[in-house]
Amino acid sequence: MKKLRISWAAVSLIPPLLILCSLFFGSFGNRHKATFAASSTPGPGATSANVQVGFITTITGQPPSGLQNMYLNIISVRLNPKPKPGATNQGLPGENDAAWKSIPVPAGVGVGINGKPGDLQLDVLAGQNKFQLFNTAGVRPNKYSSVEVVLDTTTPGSVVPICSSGGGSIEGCANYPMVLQAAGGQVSFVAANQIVTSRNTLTQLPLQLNLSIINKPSGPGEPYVVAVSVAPAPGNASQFLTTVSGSVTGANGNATVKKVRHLSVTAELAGTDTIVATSNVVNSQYSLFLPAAADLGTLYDFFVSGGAATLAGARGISPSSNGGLVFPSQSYTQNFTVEGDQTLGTIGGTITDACTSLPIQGAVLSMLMPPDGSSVNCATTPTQCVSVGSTVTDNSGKYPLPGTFQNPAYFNNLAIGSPPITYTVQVTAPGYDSQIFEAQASGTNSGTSGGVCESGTNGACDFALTTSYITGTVRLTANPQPSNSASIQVFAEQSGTNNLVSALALPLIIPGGQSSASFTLNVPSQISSFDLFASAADFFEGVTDPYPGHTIITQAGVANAPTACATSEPAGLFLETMDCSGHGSIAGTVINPDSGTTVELSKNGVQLMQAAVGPATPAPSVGNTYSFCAPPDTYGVQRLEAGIAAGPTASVAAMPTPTATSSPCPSTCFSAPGMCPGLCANTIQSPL
Amino acid sequence: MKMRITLRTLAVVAWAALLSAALGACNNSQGGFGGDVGNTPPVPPVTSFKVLGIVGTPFSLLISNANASWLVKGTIPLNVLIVNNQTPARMIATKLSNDNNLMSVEIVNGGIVLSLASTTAAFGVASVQTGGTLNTISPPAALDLRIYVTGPFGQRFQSLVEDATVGFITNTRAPAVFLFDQPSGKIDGQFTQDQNFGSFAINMTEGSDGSKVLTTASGGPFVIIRQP
Repeated sequence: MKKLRISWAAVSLIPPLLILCSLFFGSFGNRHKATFAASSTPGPGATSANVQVGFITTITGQPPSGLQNMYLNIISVRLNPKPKPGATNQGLPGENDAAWKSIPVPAGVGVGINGKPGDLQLDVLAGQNKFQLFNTAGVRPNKYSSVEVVLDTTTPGSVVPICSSGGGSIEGCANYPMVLQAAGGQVSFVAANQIVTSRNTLTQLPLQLNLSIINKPSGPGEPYVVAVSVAPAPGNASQFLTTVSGSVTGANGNATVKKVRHLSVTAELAGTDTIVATSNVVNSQYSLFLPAAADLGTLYDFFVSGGAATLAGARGISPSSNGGLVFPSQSYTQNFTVEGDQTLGTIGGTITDACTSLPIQGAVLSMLMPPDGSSVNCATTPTQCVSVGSTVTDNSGKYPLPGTFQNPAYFNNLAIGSPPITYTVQVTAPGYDSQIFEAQASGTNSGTSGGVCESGTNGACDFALTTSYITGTVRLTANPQPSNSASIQVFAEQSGTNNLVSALALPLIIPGGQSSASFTLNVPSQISSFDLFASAADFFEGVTDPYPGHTIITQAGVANAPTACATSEPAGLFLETMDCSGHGSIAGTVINPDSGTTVELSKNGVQLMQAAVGPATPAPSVGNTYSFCAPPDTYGVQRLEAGIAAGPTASVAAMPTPTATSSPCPSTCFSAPGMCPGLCANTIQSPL
Repeated sequence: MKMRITLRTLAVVAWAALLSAALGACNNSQGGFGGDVGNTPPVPPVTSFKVLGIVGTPFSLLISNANASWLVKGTIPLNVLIVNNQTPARMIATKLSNDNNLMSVEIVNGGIVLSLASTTAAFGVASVQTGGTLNTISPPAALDLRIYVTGPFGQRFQSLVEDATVGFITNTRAPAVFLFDQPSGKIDGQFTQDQNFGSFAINMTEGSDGSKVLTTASGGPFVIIRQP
């Protein structure tokens, strides 16, 4: 009896303990899933296979050249092993089938609440002639038959048409909602050939999304009705993709060691910190699927990090007869050698403003390394070096921003070396002079303290960036209505270039009843002069207008202050007022373009914006059309090849100004009491 | 007999712990904290604002609701939560990099994206709003107190942030910033990691740009930070 009572007492412990355990440890059950959800690169799951999903797009129902923007909001891509080959039911499995495996939007692009993913805005227009990676995530090794793209039914997407030639019934250069024709937010198919995933193997899943415009809006506020379908990308998207693989010798992957990054190879667009794809190194091997331009090729930087090893980097594929470029449908080999079993340390500190001593938030620090076999001095020629890891400062100016146990910050995982390894680090922040310093890692592999920098404050890796200031005033032709305000942003670019270097941290707000506001703009002190321009963010139909109705005002050749921390107050800055001329668009064609062709819009010699030359023909051909949404004004257009001017600047033909109309006024942009711009019109430009 | 009493006591303690956890989960009060932490009434789910896209892209953000406005600088990604938000609210984000990196701004409530805008332009601007049209930008928050949860990157966590009268339960991911306007008395926050990705890095700031740090907290999976 005593035993029984004890047993009952013991048994009475079980339910609450079980429930508590499930409460406390339940979340750990989702750990792998969460890890992958938080990673845009292959995660180190013990049993996972990795799938890389990407899209190409097609549009039917309306000529693509009639659109300025088209975004489709994607929540996730799901895979299901059903239907099994030979099964009686060869249809798609149900939406609630437990076997669906989800590949969510990558971290930082659309992380959501309670584990629900957010949206990735897929640029449908750009996707017509380039492959857009969605995410790489782990799934259970299996053979998958069904593929489903989950769309956001609440906010499926948006469309911005250009203005109609000769006038139309709806306004152009304004945002229109997208509505899905079919109920539900999923589009799916059963693959003719099963998608086979294997442990520690990266599987490519290229998909083609087709958007068919069923109905266009016939009046303000009406949506575009769109039918979306998905299918395997033709030819496995080989006309867009290349394969780079190889070996990494000298170190091992170590997926299970906390606070040490997994040994991996990362590809980023050459000369940038923009990571395109990462592959874990398994058994000293890696493999990457990368988008590539068919005509000109694409240049990537590659770097090896993690695994308690030294870093390695390469610019392009070497040796190569193509300048390191990669082309679609080709396979390339790039091998690396590193030194493993390193003691890891940190380079950390604080970045401040040299003039105010205040912390600089969001400064970017890039670790630079000469490409393999190069003797380039990264301190003097940083553009010839590969960024082999980057971090940013937090709200108090401290770096590195913390990573996770499994994926620590690059700057917390640096080999100390014996003798100590010297790293070259570049710090950049908008509005400040960039700075390059040399540092050695020290301390532990966590936190924001560590590193030895001879040029830093007291030998620590704390640095102050210099800046100077330009002040001026922006004026409106007409005051905002008393209940409204105008939001104005001021930009600075290096004179004569499109090298934007600064913008106001806080947009100017001109409240109702006032017509002007003064600004002070941080600019790098080591640049002698700037081109400035100011643009408004108006409301249209109660929502933020993607393109302004106010004119863009410009000022070329604004002299900088003579020294750091000084202020330039140029006379005659922005004498032109911002007029409300309404929306406008410019469209044209380019003769024999290639994938490096762009078109630039300028006003008074100040370069304002660039447009890609988009596809009027189906992918993968490069099309020959371009378009801008810009308020009616006097502009020039310039053809660029790989960013360099090709030919003279052509004047844009006279742009029709929308006829002023009275109520109801859809915009916060107006120039006379009660009068607003009417429907806009397109301006056709001669071929470039 | 002694064993039985011990087991019964353990059972009672276990059930009490379960009840405490259940209450915390149900009424969002979390309970169990003396003094001025955790004893405020629960409120509806918080609307959050997200700046997303290519990780590490710097931006500046003007966010305004019906009562106040804030300037927030940072890098992608960042979750912004306004404590006791009064709609309508508007967010204008300016990308601060000269590249074609994607920057998306989202307004999310209960896991549903309410509004979304993107830009890939160099120094591009994207803006979203919720709860109607905010025609004017409100004045800067008076006594601009903030709590920054800077890491670990991607860490999902639950939080209770509160002043002397109102508490807010949220579930979001790091990096995140909680914005206060005219808080009643001192503020505090308690943060619990859903998964143990690493040590929390949390700081509380005062001032219009979030750079003046009042106090910091680290560790995990559970951390409390209080205004000094």
